[in-house]
Amino acid sequence: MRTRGGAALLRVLAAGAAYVMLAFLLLPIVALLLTTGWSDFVAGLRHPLVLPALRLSLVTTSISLVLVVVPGTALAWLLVRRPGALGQAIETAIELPVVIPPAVGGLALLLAFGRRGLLGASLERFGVTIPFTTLAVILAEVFVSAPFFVLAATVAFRRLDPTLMTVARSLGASPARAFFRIALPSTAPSLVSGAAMSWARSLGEFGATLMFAGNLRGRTQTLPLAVYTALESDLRAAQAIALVLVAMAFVLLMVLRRSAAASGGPALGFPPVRSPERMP
Amino acid sequence: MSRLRFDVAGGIGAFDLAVSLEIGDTPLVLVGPNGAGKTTLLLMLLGALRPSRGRVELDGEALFDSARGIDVAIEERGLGYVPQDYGLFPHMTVLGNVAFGLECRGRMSAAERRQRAFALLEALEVAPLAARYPRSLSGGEGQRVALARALASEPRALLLDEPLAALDASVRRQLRAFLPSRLASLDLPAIVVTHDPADAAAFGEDIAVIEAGRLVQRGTLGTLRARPASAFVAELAGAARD
Repeated sequence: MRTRGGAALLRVLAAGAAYVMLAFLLLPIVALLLTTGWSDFVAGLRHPLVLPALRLSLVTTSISLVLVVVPGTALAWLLVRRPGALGQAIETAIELPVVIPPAVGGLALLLAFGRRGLLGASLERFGVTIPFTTLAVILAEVFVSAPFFVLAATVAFRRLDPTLMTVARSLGASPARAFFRIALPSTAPSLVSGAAMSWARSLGEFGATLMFAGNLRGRTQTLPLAVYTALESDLRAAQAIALVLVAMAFVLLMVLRRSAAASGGPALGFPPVRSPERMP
Repeated sequence: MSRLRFDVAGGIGAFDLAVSLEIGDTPLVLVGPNGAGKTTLLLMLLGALRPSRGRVELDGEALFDSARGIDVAIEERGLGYVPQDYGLFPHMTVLGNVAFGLECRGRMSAAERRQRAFALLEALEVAPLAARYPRSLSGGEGQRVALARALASEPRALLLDEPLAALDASVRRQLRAFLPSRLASLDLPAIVVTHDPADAAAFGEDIAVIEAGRLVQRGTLGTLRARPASAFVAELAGAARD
């Protein structure tokens, strides 16, 4: 039987657990900030690892973002407009890269595009070698980050009232015009936050990149790989890169919060994937 | 004189829908209990749902004909549609919503479009709302804006789904006086779907009743009252006193 004292104790324990969790989550970030002085930070940034990695990360994540968003929007639209058993299966398949370990993803990419992989021989015939190139970095990023965008876009399109599209068509809009003038703008906030999530995943991508693209400075060494490499030679460089990544993440989070406030959804985290049924 | 004629059938969920009707320049009020297939029928005429067989004909031109394999796309049918919750585009202003109808149909400058859209809003007495967004409109205002938008595309016939259902009593009385006379002045074949007897009475002389996907009776309120073909019709005609 619960007593007044028991309830109070439970409340204290729960609060204690909550604060321990909070402290645990914040402590590493605080440590990163406290242990890096300004001069260390500046010196770290000057390390020869940093600039090429920063440039490579920005270039590859920008390209992978485009490669995710454009076909990803088309795929999400298709999944929502043509529901069915196949659609369900495809949706589950798309979720896979989110849950499988990145290193496994990297191995899978190697087995698909590697020299002795499924497509490797055919690609080689055309003189194309993908593994351990910048292209491999981009492919790894697309592979791990696309699901974040496609799932967010699928949810957004599913929430779109199909009546709006019917009305637009009845007013004389072609399917394409209805899509670009009605469906896209009215789901834009959700699409933007999906794209931001996906970009963040690309930026932090490590395991699949290491397996599939290696760790070659200027060609495949992105910021997370540079942190790992710098740790062996110059801790300050590792800390400087880490702080740059934290700053980027923070800016991204702010953008997400604003766009979430605009659309009324959660800032981070996955919106429910399966949602209300559509018009009969 | 314009004419909308159709004879469509299709299995929709629980039952088969099979309705054949012909409509001239006076609005037809389509009445039936919830789930009778009224909205489904509108969507079939509109082209958003495909009947399994039948014909839809507007002014002698086939919009749909299963026998001849004709299925004109929604945007080519020229049917104005006002859905139950008005379907206003939430990311566009009231003026933008109406201008969208003009944008899709004809080649005119942006300035001309704004002017025409504004004139349509004026005709429906909602011009002061031009710069507002749909979420800030009341039900009655939304209804008028949706109608203005449907008219912007110069439709050859109008389909209104439960135009008064979502409104509170006073606005409803107001629109009951306004909408029917406005529709009558358009000289277009129009179908007005409702489940409310008083709305049915307000909208017209020509009432068609469907139940479970079938046309039960068509006639004036007087006919329905004198010789009701079903218990629902009797109840409907009895309730529609005004």
